Amino acid sequence: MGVSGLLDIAKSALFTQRMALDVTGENIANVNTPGYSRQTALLQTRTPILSSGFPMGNGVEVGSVRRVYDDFLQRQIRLENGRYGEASTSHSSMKRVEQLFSEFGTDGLGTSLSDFFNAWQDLSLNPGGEAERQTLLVRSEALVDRFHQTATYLDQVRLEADRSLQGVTAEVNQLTDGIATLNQQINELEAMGGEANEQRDSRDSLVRDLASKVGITYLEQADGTVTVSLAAGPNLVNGSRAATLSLQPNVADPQMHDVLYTPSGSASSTTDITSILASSGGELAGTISTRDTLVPKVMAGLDEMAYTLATQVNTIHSSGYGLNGSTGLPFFTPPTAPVPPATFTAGYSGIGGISVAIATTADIAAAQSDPTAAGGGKGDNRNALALGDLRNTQFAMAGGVSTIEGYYALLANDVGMTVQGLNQAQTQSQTLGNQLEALRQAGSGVSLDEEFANLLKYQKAFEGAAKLINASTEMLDTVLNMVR
Amino acid sequence: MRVTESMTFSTMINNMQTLREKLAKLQEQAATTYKVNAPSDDPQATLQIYNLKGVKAATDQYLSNIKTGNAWLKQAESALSSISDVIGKAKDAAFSMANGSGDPALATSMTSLIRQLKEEVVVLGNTKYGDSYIFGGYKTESAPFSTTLLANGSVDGTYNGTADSIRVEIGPGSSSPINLTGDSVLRGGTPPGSTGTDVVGMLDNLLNALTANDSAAIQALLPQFGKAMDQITAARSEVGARMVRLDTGRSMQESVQVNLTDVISGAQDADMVKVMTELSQQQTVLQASLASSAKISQVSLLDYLK
Repeated sequence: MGVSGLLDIAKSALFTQRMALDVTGENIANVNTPGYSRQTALLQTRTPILSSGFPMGNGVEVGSVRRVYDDFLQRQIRLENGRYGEASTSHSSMKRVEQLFSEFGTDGLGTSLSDFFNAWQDLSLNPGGEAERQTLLVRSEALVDRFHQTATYLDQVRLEADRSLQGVTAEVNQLTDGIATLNQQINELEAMGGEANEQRDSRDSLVRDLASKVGITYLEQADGTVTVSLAAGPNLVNGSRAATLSLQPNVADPQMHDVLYTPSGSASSTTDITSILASSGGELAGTISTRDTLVPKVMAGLDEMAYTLATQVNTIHSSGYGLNGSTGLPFFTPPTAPVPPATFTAGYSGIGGISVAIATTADIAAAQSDPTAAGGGKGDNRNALALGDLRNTQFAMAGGVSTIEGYYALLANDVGMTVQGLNQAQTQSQTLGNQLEALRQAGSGVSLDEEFANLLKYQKAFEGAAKLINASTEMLDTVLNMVR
Repeated sequence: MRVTESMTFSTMINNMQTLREKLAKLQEQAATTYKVNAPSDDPQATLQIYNLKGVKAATDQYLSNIKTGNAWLKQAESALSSISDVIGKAKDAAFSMANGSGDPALATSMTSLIRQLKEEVVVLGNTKYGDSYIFGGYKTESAPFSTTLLANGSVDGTYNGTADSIRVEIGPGSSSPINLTGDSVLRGGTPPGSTGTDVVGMLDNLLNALTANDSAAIQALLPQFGKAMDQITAARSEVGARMVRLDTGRSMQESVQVNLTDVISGAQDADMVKVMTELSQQQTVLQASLASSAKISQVSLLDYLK
C-alpha cells in the first residue's frame, strides 16, 4: 500500500462523512414530519488489509443507517389509540343523548310529567269546568309530544352511528391496503440489503392509525412484513394481502348494517363480525356499542316509562265516567301487547305509539260514578283525584321501584353517569396517549440542537478528510517530482 | 431523557388545551350561575335535583288546591252564618205568634215573612262558588234545592243533590273534604228529618200553622228551633275545623316549599365568588403558560453557531 492507499482512506472518509451528512440532512428536513423516527448513520472501520506483514486500517464506511425505534412504546400507543377511539366515539354520541335529559336551563320531559299530574289535580277542584278539561288535554298533548321528540332524536342518533360505519370501514380498508403495499415494498427493498427506514416509519404510522379505528394486534415476521390481526382473531393484513370489511343491511332491522369480513383473495367466504367488533376496541367498537347497546338502553327506559304511564292511567280512566256518562274509554291509545320476556312494548314512546285517545273534553273521566245517573253529579272528582295521586304511586320497573317522575330522574342519572364515565375514559386515554407520544418523541424525535452539533461534527470530519487528500496529493507530487 | 422540538411544542399545545377547557367550564358556570349544567357534570346531584323539582311542583299544586278548598269553605261559612240569622228571625216570629194573639193582620204579615224566610233559606242552600253549587254533594251543576212553588205559595226546597263529600288533595296521599251536603245541614238527612232537624220542613210547618192560625201547632214547633240553631252551629264549627285543617296543611306545604327551594339551590347553584376567583386564577395560569412557551421556544443552537 502506498500513497494511493492514503488517498483511498481519505476517499472513504470523504464519502462516509458525506453520507453521514446526508442522514443528518434527512433528519433536519423531517423534523416536523409526523411519525418520523430519526436515523443514525453507524460508522464502522473497513476491513483491515495486510500491509508489510501486519493488519493496517483501511478507512471508514457506513455500516448501516439505523432508525431509532421502540417497539414497546409502539405497542402501548396502539393500545391507547384503540381505547381513545372507542371512548371518544361513544362519548360524542351520548353527549347528544344527554341533552334530551337536561332540565337545567330549559323544561323537558320531567316538567311535562309534573304539569300533566298537576292538570288532573286542577280538574279535581272543578270537574265540570271546561277550561280545566281543555288545559288537561293541552298538557297531555304536550307530554306526548315530548315523548315523541325524545324517541325520534334517540332513533336519529342510532341511525347516524350506523351511517358512520360506512366511513370507518372505508378508512380501515384503505389503511390495511396501505399496510399491505408497504409490506411488499419493505420486503423487496430489504432483500437488496439495508433497512427501508422511511417505509417502516410510514407503516408504523398506518398501524397506529388503524389501531384507533379497530383494536388490533400485530407481529413482525422474519421477512420484514407485519401481520395485523383483529384483537379477537381474524387476519387483516398478511404479507402483501389485505382483508376487506364491508357492510350489509341487517336482516331483522334493514335500516341498520352488519359488518362483514372478507379474507383477501376469497370473495365468497364472508363472515359477519359485528359482534366480535363490538368488544374489539377502536372507533368501530365505539360506534357499534353506541348503536346496539348504549342508545337502545335509553330507548328501552323511555318506552317502559311511557308504557307504565299509559297503562296505569288507562286502567283508572276507563273505570271512570265522563261528563255525559261515557265510560270504558282509555285516555292514551292502548299499547300493543309486549313481546315476552319484555314487560313493556318496545317503541311505544315514539310516533305511532303513545298518543292522547280522548278528543272531546266531556269524555275526560273525572267521576267514578255516572254524573248523568241519579246518584251522581258533575262534582264527582274521585277519578280525577285518583289520577292526580298516581304521581305518588311506586311501580316496579327495570331500573328499580319508583314513581314515574322518579324513574325519569333515574334515567337522567343513568345517562349522566354513562357520559361521565366515557368522558373520564376519553380524558385518561388522551392524557396517556399524549405522554406515550412524548416518550416516543424523546427517543425517536429529531432534536435540532443535536442535529446541528452532528452537522458540525461531520463537517469538520469532512474538512479533515479533505486535508488528508491535500496532504496525500502533495506527497504524491513530491514522489513524482523525485523522478525527473 | 432527550427533549426534542416537537415534544416541546406538543406538550405546550396540550397544556394550553387543558387550560382552555377548564376556562370554558368555569365560563359556563359563570354564565348560567349553575354548577350542574348537564347530567354528566354531577349525576348524583342531577338525580336529587330532578326528584326535588318534582316534589316542588307537587307542593305548589297542593297549595293551589288548599286555596280553592279554603274559598269553598269560606263561602259555606258565610252562607251558614246567614242561615243562622234567618232561623233566628223565624224563631222570634214563631215565639211572638205562639201565644195566639189572634190579630189577623199580624198573622198575615207573619205568614208572608215566614214564606220569605223559607225562600231565603232555600236560596242560601243554593249558594254557588264559581260555577259549582257547594251544598249539592256531587250535583254541582244544578241547584240542589228545588225552587218550584208549593200549594201554600212557598218554594219547595226538596233536596235533589247527593250525600257525597268532595275531597281535594292537600298533601301526598292526604285529602280533605271541602263541602257540606245540603241534606244533612238543612233537611236533617234523607228522608228529611231522619238524622237531624228538617229546617226547611220546620219552616214549612210553621207557615202552614200560621196560615191556619193554629197556635197549638206553633207551640209544638218551638223546641225545634233550638235544635235547628244547634244544627247550624254544629255545621259552622265543622266548617271551622276543616278550615283549620287546611290551614295546617298550608303552613306545612309552605315550609316544605321553602326547604325545597333551599336544597335545590344548594345542589344546583354555583358559588359565584368561588367561580369568579377560579376564573381569574385560570386566566393568570393561561397567561403564564403562553408567555413561558413563547420564551422557551425561541432559543436554539442556531443562535450561537456562526
